[in-house]
Amino acid sequence: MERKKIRKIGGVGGVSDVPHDLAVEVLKKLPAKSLMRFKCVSKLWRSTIDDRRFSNDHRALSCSRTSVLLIYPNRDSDRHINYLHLFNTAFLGHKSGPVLNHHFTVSLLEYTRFTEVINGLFCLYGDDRLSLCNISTHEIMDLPPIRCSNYFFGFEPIAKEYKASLNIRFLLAMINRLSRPEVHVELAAMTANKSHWVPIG
Amino acid sequence: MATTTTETKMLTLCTSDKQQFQIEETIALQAVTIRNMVEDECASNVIPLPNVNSKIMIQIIEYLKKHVDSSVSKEDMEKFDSAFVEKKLSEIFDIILAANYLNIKNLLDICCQRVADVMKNKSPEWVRRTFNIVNDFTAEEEAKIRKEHEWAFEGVDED
Repeated sequence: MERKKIRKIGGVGGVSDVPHDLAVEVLKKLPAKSLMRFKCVSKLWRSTIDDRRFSNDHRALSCSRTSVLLIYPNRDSDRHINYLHLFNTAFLGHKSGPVLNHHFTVSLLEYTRFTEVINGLFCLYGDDRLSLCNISTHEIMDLPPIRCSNYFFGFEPIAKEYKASLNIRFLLAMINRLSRPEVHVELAAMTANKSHWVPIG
Repeated sequence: MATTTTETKMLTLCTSDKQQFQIEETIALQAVTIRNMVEDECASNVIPLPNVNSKIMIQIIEYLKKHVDSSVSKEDMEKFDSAFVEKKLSEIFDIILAANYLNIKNLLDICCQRVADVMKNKSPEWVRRTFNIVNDFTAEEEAKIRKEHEWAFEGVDED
């Protein structure tokens, strides 16, 4: 007996038959949360959503909308950040005003401080730990830490232009203040493609 | 609507089902594809649009007529647009295909936005059904992706 096969090629019997390039136009208008969920729709959709060109287009469109992000750290008595609450404004159409939404909460016990947010990314750090957080996708990536008092997080737009292999290029700079800060200021940087520290200046 | 001046230049659009639509040239030229055809003079009086049927053409003309009117305020235009996309998804997809073929960017934009608004909180299964996509992941692969993005599955609509 022949096994029954259900074939759906070219939209037979479906609601619609939308070419992939038009589906991509729809995807560009979705929030990051939906995109993360739709990565498991198919291999083609996953590779589209993961594509750097797509994420750049998506980000450009997201940036054209007005949005405010609030980060509220919840610290304990030892100044450790227990939770980081992130809020954003939602868009409910042109008529209604912005609505504050609880975006997500990072539960963090190993961090004491965090940097400013640039292009939806920021760093969290503590004594022995340094991580990069992508607010839109909720991804947290560990970076090799070095002993220092302050991390700064920056973005180098020119390099982004010319380094096509990078997703979002960022620059981390560290100032290591030794006994006398005005004399001993060491700078080191780390970029997205190389996960090690390079002294600068 | 009364026929006003005799000066108004008219174009005839012929849809896939051989229906003819006479509309003012200024209205039709908002579609870049039609504008190019007219500018290249490759079209005579009748412009064939083999990729658009009359049912969709009627709606597209309704859209173009509104958008050619410069006296409409921005607010009213937005009101019109949001009412315009209140259609069944299958119809919106047909308009997307036509708007893409006719190259009417704003219409394509509002229709894609409409689809995005509808699918925003839907499950991957709903998306596969709606877009006619075959899941080519193995069960293990899919489970792995789902686990990596667990948070994205919170608050998903029931199918």
